[in-house]
Amino acid sequence: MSKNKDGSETIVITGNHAVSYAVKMARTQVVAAYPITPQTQVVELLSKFCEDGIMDARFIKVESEHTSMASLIGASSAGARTFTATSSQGLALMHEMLHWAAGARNPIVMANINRALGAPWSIWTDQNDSLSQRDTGWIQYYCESNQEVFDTVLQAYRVAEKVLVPVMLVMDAFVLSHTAEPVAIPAQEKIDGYLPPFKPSIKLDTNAPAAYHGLATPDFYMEFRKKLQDAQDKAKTVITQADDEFASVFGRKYGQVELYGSENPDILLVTSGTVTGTAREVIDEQNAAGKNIALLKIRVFRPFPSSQVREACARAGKIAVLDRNIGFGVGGIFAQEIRAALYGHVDVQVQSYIAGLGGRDITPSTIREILSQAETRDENNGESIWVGVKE
Amino acid sequence: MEKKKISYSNISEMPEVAVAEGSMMVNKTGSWRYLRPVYREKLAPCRKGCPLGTDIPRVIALITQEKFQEAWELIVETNPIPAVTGHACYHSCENSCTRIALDDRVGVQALERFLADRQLETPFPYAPAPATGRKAAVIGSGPAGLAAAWALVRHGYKADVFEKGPEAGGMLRSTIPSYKLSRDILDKELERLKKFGVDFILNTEIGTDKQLADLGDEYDAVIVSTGITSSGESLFPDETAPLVYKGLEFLHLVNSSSSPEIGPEVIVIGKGNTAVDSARCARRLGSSAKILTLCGRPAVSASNQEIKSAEAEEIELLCQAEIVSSRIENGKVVLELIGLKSIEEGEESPPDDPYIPGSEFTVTADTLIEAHEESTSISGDFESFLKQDNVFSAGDAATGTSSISHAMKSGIAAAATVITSSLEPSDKRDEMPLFNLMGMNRDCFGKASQVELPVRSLPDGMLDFSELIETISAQDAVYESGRCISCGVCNFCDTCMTFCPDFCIRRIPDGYEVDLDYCKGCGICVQECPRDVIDLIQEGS
Repeated sequence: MSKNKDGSETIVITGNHAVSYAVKMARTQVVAAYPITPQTQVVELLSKFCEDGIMDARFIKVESEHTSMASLIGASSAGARTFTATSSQGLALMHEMLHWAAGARNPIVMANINRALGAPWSIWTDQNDSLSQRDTGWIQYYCESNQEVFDTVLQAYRVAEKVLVPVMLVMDAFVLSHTAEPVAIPAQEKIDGYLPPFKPSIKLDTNAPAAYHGLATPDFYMEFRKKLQDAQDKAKTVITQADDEFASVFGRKYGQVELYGSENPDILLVTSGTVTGTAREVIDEQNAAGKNIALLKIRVFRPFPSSQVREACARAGKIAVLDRNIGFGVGGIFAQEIRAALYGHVDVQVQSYIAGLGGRDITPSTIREILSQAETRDENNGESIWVGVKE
Repeated sequence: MEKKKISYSNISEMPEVAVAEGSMMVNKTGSWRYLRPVYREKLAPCRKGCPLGTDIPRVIALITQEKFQEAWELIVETNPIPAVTGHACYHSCENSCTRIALDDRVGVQALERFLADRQLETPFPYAPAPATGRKAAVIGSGPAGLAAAWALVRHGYKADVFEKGPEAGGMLRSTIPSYKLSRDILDKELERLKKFGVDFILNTEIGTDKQLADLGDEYDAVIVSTGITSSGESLFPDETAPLVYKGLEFLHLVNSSSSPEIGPEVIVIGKGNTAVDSARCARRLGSSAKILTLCGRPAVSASNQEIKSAEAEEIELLCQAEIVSSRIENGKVVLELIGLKSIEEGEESPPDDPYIPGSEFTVTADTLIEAHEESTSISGDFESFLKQDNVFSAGDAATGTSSISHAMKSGIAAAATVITSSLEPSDKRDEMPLFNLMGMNRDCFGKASQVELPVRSLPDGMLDFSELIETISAQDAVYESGRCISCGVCNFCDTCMTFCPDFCIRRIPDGYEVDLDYCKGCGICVQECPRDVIDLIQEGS
């Protein structure tokens, strides 16, 4: 542990524990969770914090992820700041309640450790679990480093409680969740200043009893859906504000997307999650060898940062999207989203590359292979290219 | 109340989420129901096991609420001498305690004793019924006679209890050793019965001091509860004390002012409580003691608790042996014995050759106490007397050796026959469904060990005739009663009300009511009830 000039302390912790520390320091009041690899350490440490009395929260042990989310919906409706974490099959089991939390406008924050879905069983990383939940109404952040994980938890509460939409923080299994890195832990007073207590505008109140979320007839249902969409739209601004303010207090800023390298590259490689770190190295190496390649990291996936993506792609020669996921019957999910954002605005080739499913390593040579294919390939038929499949 | 707007023409007027600020009571969800919860108490195993049918779960529930007098008042509804039973009953109720499956039985005896010892001076909370003008004679003042007389007086009879000795109590005084039941306690319980209206006619032996025929003329009914007497052939019919005693005679002497003379080594023959009592008394008179059961260990009928106490007092229990021969040699009893093969489980009869070859052994003693056979004291004139319509037998005299509470039950039953109507409170147990373990919600019960009984401390190896076990404290009584599952008996824990998702269970003075306008019949209350009090029945059934 080392004390920094700004009052923070740097400790070496895993991505999972970065979540735990941030949740504790956010003064979360209710945690309900069910263990699943690779998420377990997150809640294990939180339960210890609660047991040791250094975190003033109610830790609810539940029998399933469905119940953990249902419990938090109750706690959040009663005005508590809430948290859970899960992964893969657990997230899938939660699916029904994810829709409910968003519809009920509960600003719950959840960490999802990206783990591939069965069958066949896998415990290793890919993004299909979280991307399967893209239409549930949740905001989604994809993180690259443990520091970003810690910081994003704090930003997530700021955003969620402002727009009353739940936030899912996503990180790669093992590559980030179980890898230790130095993380600067800010002083508690600074965090308290950035993240004041949750004061909900909608709250269960025994003095003013009311039934919530009952049957909405066709006369009204559509309006409530529109309000959720409006909240997602509003979140685009709020996410940026939360990030800017974070930068002014803590000196770190992430953006909804991050452009790394030239504004008019021959190839713009798009990544999300930990692959981004590997890609930064490869691009530096290739540009040093005379190439003109840039990197676009997508950090916020919902609401989708269409305008930032359009801006970054506007002067690129080609776009190569690295998807650690697969939308069966279509192709890489990030690629689809980017194509949709660009359509009618930017006329550029968007190539889709599928790699690293089920935890297969994406090494610098995997990225070199993608870039080399992107350089020579000149087609825009929408089909995804599978990288590294044994043939 | 301000009327809230419930219809909107513009999205901007609408709240962020759907909220119904009006009442939902208009939606009577009870119409969806096809199953209905009904509160139906079950018969707890302890109450089933109690000969007197005492409502043990309710007594215990009152202790948890520290309503000690009320708890005692509930006991004396069915039991007129609760301190006697609290000290000396074998509590068959405890043997069927559901809690045994979790950790250990609830100490019902300790709880009963705690309550009874607090209320020794308290009169019964009820008065006898108005006098009917009828009168009954009860012969013998043991537990059966006392219970019969109490029941008769309670129902407006005059009851005269005849006792041949100078003090009432029968076997409670003459047989039960004072280290189990202090005579002060017994006297207090008898005093209460006297005040209630039971008349004791002492020093009057029927057949000697007063004739049977006269009783039949003077009284509307007679109950014969004269107990048991030692019987069986003696190994040494010509020998007398201090070499040979009969079990009950020996105990009578121990309990009289003159203690019997015995030698330093005592052998007791018998497998029941009389044998164990005799041996424990012999130890207290300064002798060593062995018990020859003449049967296998499983056939020993003395209570386990008694056997444990006896073993703790260094009394050896010799089982699975038969006497081959006996003699008196140099003023000592000499018994030659041989070991018996044990009958394995599932085998119907003993093997052809039941003896273990080479297992012969010899025991010698200065005193032999024969406590192996007891039978009713009713004989001769009494037998023909009992044939009369208004004469009944009760207690051990009628049933043979049993227990205090079984004898009391028999006395109450005889009184009921005299009165020729069922007694109030009648025993409703037959009508109650049995508690079902499957209906219990095990999640509600953690482990909790039984309260430790306080034992009077004595110098090492010393034993005396004062009570060995002491009464538990109020704090321990509340703790111990908290262990009770209250099988099948609602103790107002509110679990049903707490878990009802429709908020349609409400507390009423005697229990709960279900608002059937809204109960959907989900059955959650039935599942959650810790103690099998609620049943789910089909609508229309």
